[in-house]
Amino acid sequence: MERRNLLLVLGMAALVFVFLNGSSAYAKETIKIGGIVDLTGPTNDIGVPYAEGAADYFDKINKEGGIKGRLIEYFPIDYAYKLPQAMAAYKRLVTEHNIIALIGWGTGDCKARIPLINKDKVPQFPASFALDQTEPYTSYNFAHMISYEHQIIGMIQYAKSKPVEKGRKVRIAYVYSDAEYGRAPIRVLKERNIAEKMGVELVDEQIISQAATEAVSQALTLKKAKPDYAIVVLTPKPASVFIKDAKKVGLETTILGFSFLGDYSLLKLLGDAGKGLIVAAPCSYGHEMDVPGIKKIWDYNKKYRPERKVIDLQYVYGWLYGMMIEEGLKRAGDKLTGEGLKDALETFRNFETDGISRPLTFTSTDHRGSYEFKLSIANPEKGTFESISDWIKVEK
Amino acid sequence: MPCGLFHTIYKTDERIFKTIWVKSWLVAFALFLILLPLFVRDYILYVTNMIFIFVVGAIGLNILTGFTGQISIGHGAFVAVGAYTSAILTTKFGLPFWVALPIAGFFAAFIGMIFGIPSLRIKGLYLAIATLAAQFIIEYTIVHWERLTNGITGMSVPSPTLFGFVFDNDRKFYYLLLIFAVMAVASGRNLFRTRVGRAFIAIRDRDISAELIGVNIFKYKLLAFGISSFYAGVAGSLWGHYTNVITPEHFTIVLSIDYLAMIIVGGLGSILGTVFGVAFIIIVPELLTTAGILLKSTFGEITTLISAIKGLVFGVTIILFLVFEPDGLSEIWRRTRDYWKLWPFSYR
Amino acid sequence: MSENIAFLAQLFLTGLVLGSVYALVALGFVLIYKATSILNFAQGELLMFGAYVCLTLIIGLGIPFFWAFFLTLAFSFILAVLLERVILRPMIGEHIISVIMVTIALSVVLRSLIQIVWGTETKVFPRIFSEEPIRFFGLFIAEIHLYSMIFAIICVALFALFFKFSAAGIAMRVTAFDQQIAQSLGINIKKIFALSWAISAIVSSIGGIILGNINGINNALAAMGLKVFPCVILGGLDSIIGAIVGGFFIGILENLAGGYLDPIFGGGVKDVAPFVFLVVMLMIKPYGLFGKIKIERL
Repeated sequence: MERRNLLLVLGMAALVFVFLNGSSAYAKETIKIGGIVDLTGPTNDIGVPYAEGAADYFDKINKEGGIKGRLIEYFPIDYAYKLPQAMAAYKRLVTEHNIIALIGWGTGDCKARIPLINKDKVPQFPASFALDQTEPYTSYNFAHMISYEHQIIGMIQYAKSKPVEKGRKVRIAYVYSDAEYGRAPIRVLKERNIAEKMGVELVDEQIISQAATEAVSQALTLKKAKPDYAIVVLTPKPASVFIKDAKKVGLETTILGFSFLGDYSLLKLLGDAGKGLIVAAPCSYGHEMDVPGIKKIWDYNKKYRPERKVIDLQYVYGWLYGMMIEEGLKRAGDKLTGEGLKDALETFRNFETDGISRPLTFTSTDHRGSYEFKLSIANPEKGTFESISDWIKVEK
Repeated sequence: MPCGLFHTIYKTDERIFKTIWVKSWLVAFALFLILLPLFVRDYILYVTNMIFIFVVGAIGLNILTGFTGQISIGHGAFVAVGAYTSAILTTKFGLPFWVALPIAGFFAAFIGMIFGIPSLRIKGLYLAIATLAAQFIIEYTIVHWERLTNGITGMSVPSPTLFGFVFDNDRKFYYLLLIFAVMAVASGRNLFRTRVGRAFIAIRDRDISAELIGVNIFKYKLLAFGISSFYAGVAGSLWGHYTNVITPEHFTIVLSIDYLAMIIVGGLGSILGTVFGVAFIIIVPELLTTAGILLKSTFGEITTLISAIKGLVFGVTIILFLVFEPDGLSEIWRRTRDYWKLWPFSYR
Repeated sequence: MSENIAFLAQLFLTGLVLGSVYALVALGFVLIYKATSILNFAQGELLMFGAYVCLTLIIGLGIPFFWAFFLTLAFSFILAVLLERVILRPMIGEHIISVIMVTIALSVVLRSLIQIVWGTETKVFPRIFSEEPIRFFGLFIAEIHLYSMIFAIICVALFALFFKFSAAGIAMRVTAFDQQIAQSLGINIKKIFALSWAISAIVSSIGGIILGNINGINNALAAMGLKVFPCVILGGLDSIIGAIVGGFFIGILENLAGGYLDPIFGGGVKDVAPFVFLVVMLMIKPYGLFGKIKIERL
């Protein structure tokens, strides 16, 4: 018994010793970038491709020789969508690894980190396109794609353009997640009274828990309100539950999904129920091979990641951030710090992304790169989405 | 070294630090803690600060579960009450931290006592289930009472200030939290030299007999819930002001389970064990994350697996402890200490 | 049918469907409690295990559903017996909090293992029943819901009959009543413990397969393990009938709360209502509708 305990104590002491002292065995002269991403939590179905997109782009930079000879060291930490883990991960990245840029994921944690990144001067690139990431302007948070709120406004515009019976307004309903990424946009839309200002009738709203395994009562209540369009702000996991249950109870409405619903695995989950699903796409899909930027993604993957068969929309978001950061670092010249990167990014005027998205512009008062998106409709047989509109620009 | 301790009067038996050796080790350890920030990285201080905060909360839970025998799976909810009360008092009412903290503690105690009322009628497993329900109900209230708590967005909590000195980094907080942790340990340990503490232990061991000898079990059970939740509330308040942001996600059932794990691994009914347990449960996942980052270059996929591995290690460790050493780390410590104390005459 | 009555009836119906699965899982939980006095926090994970294994057998190995189903039950049986032998057996006689903690730790271990082996994406069973709703009396019920409910009810009935009338079932009830009497009658209680875990795992696996068929499998299914508590408290921790009644009741309660209270309170009531109900039950009738009242002796 003694020996076992002694070994236990010695083993732990050794580990603690290593932990206290073993650290920077890392090469000098590298550019350190951190990532706080969801790989195993409730939004990981879209979190994993996003994390991979960013990681792959950094790897591509390294394979091509780095930025002026300096390689990128990328430290992704999985926080499983839990804020306390995100906080601990951030602390670790900043104090242990001295990162100069941070790839972020969730609405809640990225927003909570804003005071910290401003204090530590570390630019953050959230996958969350919620409007409050960039409005009010904050020096170190950058978002490349059009915000959820603007997507919804654009989709309501589309809904209005389709005729309904005379004598009544178009009826819409909000179906959103209980997580921050669902609540924040709906809060903004309600505060600004968007539905009324645009002349549509908001007949109902339903909240679906992020970890829901069924949503029948919500679908039934929604059915009572008879909306023409249901605007869905849910990630694929709960969205599939809702859409399928809606079908099971005979709810007939057109689903307008926000950007994160442009997901191939969602279509697989939905099967037939995916017919008629319309999704806002802020950039090109991974299957649109006629876009030069998308082709570059496939070139990289065919060479270095041959097992990858599908490029998700979220992967493209991550990849795009990689593209932005590369250009920003190049423009920063010798000032390879967080502040240098931020200043460099703010010089972007119509930065071309090889056609993947509209050109991105960042200024010292606006850190949102693009205000445009396309509408696309699901094609369940092919398992992809097809564009049904051209680039729609939404005013601020 | 003496072969044993032979006390002839109650006073010496009751003493917490019984021999000169214990006292000198204690002084050495205290010096170590006080000087630690001078030669260690910021991140280590962050981990130590977390340990201090959780020690406060875990001692509370051990008082309730380890010493009074009332199983509580809802401890995380009471930590939440403390954290949110303190946050609301400092942001919406502008009270200083030093006023908000005790109020948060007392309010958490109050809520704890309310959820302790069922303990009059139910015990054991049923009480455990009731505390489980308390966890979910309090969580729901925090998420949905948006006007008060900002719902799921969470609240940002200001750092405490003292005459213009702002506690806004790990080093400054270290000493503050050290003091709180020491107070928690000292008060917890001393509690069991008092009448109240002895009543708690009596209730744990045989509550019906305790009632027969005149211990008002309802009053003391409620008191146990109250005291335990007070500690939880203080821990919550400290946590909030340290990390400057709180959300309902901080206080889910996972937190309650973590606290339970800490006291079980450490040793139920042992204050010293609580400290060990907290340190263990906090340090091991950190080591795993570090290992994951170090190994990333060799095993690319490991980042995804790390969180599953953390869970696996956590669960397996607890099971191993429970099956092989149900009295926890404090028991292992006691045996090791006794071995050295009696060496070379220790027998086994 | 007037709209409001139709709404109520629809909620009720869906509640029955969900409730039938809850009843199944609650049955497994009560089984373990009755035989071994252990609160099994890992019930949800046993459920997930069944669903994932069945899926792998069908999709990974191409085994037809019928055989895959029974193979899954066999796997669950083995897993449960293993768990009981290795982890639960040494815990006999330990402090109750330790036993609770062991099942909690077990749930974490199982969940992590499942995550490592199967990942965290949602997976779907191949379509057996369509999602199209069948109309009857102006109400909708999806085919898959209907058949799931029928299947669950049949299983529940089978197991209930098993307990009442089969030799093994009676042996289990004796063991639950008093272990010493059972031993004096020549019943091998170690085997009974293993058997009760095994049946509980089997029943949960069936529940998992059903739920997995309805809306896909992912690690959110583990939450079922916690939903079971309100069901068994209502019914009584040691009553099989209670578990069944409790399961249906909570399923219906959840849906009614969701349908009527969600709009008032802004969502989420569905999930918390069973727990509020649990607390109320504990205050007025802690031993449930059918549970045995424990008389404590010194």
